[in-house]
Amino acid sequence: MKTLIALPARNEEDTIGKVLDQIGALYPDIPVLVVDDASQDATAQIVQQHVDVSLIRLPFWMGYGGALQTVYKYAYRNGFDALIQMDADGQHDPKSIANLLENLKDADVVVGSRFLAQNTYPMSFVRRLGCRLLSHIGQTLVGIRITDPTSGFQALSRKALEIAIQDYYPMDYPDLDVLILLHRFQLKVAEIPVRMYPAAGKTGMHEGLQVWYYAFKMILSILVMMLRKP
Amino acid sequence: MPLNQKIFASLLAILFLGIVIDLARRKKLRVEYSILWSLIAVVIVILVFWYDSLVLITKMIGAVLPTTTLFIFGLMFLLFLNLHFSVKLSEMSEQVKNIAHEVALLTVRKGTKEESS
Repeated sequence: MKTLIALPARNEEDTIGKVLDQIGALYPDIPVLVVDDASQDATAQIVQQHVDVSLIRLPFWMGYGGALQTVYKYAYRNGFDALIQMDADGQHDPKSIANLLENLKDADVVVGSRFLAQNTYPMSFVRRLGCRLLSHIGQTLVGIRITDPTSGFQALSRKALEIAIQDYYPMDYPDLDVLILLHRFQLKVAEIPVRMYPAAGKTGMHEGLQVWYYAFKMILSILVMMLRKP
Repeated sequence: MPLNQKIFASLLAILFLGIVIDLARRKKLRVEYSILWSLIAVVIVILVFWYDSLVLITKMIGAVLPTTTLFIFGLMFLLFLNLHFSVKLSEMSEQVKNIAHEVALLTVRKGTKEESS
């Protein structure tokens, strides 16, 4: 199975070097790709020092969804059968990659859940509540049971990539709406426990005032996805 | 409608039409959009010389004053126009995104691991 590990990154100079070193040490045979989302710091330079790592630099800031779709297009066009996507901020433990890949044999998308694992990861009350609410929405609407729908630590099969490269893939906060979309295309979505660490000194996409935008956007996005013909 | 009002409205419509045609001539406005805006000028002229049509529409929609009718339809028009522009913007954002992806994918620096695999 031709596999790629990909990390969308924006201003991750403090962590990306260490993350790449860890991945390189654990999985010396799996190619790694970093998509630099127009970082303003030395992220791209640090990646360039890792000669074994492939690098794509986006011409302007496209956001998490825009960077992720670049990964999907690259993986699909270069004939990869499996893709591991993970954050470059050190939040995701590379040791869990093997487990994600193992579970991809029986599913098209494997989501790494911090809630299924024994974690000490502190999460804001609002976000915890949001995650639980999204999880219930997913279960009620399409019957998928995902405890951590905002997790960016995932494994995708080639079939899933084929859908994720389409124009209807959402550009900001692709979370539960994407999982619902993939499920509607009859793709099997599974979830396994993974270890996650808090991202040091950073405000996540789902924190602060953006939470309200996120909540409203997600409800609308799910509604639209449900109304679309697969 | 008093004569001075008619003259004022007609002049306004002619001025508007002139600006629209000039913008289209200087390629600042696409011809597709200039058609739409020219129609606005035509509607103003029609209402000036056939004021009774406005009174008739006012009665039909149950409004009291013809000005209310004008404002309602004017606002509706602007609302739909904005929606149309949002649709166009969405289309263009999608196109820009896809172009950016293509450019980025062309400039990939392949790592040694991938090249040897």
